[in-house]
Amino acid sequence: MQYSNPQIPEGINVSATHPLLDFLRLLGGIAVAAALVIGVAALLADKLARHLPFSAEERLAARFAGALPPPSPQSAYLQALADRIAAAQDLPEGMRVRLHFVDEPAINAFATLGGNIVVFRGLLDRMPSENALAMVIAHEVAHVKLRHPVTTLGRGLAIGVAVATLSAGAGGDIAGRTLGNGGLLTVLTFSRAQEREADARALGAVAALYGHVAGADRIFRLLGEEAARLPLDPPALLRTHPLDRERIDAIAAMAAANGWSLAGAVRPLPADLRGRPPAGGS
Amino acid sequence: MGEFLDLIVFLVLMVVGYVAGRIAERRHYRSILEREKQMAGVLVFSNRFPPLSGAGGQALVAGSVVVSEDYFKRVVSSLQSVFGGRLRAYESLLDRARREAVLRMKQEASEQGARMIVNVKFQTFSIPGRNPRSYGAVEVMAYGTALTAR
Repeated sequence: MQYSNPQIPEGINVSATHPLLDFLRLLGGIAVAAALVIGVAALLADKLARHLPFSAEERLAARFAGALPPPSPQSAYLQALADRIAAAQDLPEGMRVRLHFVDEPAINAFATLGGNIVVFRGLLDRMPSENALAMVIAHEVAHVKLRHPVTTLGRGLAIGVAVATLSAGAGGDIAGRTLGNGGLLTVLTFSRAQEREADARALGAVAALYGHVAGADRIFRLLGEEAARLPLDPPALLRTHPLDRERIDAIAAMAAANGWSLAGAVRPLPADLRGRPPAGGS
Repeated sequence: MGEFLDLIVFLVLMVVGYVAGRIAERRHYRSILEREKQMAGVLVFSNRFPPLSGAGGQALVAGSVVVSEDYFKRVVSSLQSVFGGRLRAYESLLDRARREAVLRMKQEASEQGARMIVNVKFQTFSIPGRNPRSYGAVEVMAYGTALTAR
């Protein structure tokens, strides 16, 4: 009897699909799924984070308290001004803002977790009046009132967790890094919608405080000038904030709509507030 | 910056894995097809008992292959494991390993003058074990009883 092994045709156990095509198809599927999951997580975080009690936010911020500068005469003045603005903005029960002064030349101010607001010397040096400064602080107070820092942190965390879960193993500590970065040490990046919202509230507070909104757009003019002067190194505030021209126009439109005068007597800043002449001597 | 560097390293590994994997696979298949023709004279059967009552001797013959995935295959298969379905990336890898193992077993049998191997079985073993973070490699061993002429 004759035995034989048959010749087995090629390609029975192996798919003919090109591996790159296979890869692209999988990548596309993953991208769609990831976008959906991350989008839903971010949306939920956005909706949920603002319901976090302010006291919980303060406890979270307390972890970073060591990074804040010590009190100074400037911070005492800023705090007094901010307290008046906070009263004008009608902050809810239990919510308060804490002002901090950083002796650095950056033209910057930001609001972060726990109602902490940081103002840099560079900004203070260039503010021509209390009214202009009040607009900046009112803007940051509005961020606090609208819970923007915690919402932004929540969104960042949700995205981080979603990404970490999806890429389990590949990037396991992304959530940890997001929490580390998203805290007090760096400026939280707010969305354009959040900035517009804060602008509107701030302008209302300035109008309530002074009876007019003269000087309120000074900050955006200043940022525009700085951006023109240093096209490659825009001020920090500008990097995270949208088009200053648009915001100047928006302020004028809001003032007109509410009958707030764009002209009026502005209050000067206390003479001893400025530590040293502005850098650059302009 | 760190994330950017990670991405570059990932892309380089992907390209290296893909190119090296493709070249190795093409070369290996060419060699497999050639040697399968050469070894066509050594027959393999899964039957436990020899089909012929030969008066020759018996010898245990085995062929073993250890084969590893490349980085590209690894990424593709991890993506595939999300959706399920055919792990196409591994099909060719295991096909090559099985055939190479049989070829090595036949080679051994042929060196002993055998024309037939019966009771052929396969065994596989995952080299990195169950650690999911480790590399993926598998041993495929084919073994059987070679019937040698006396």
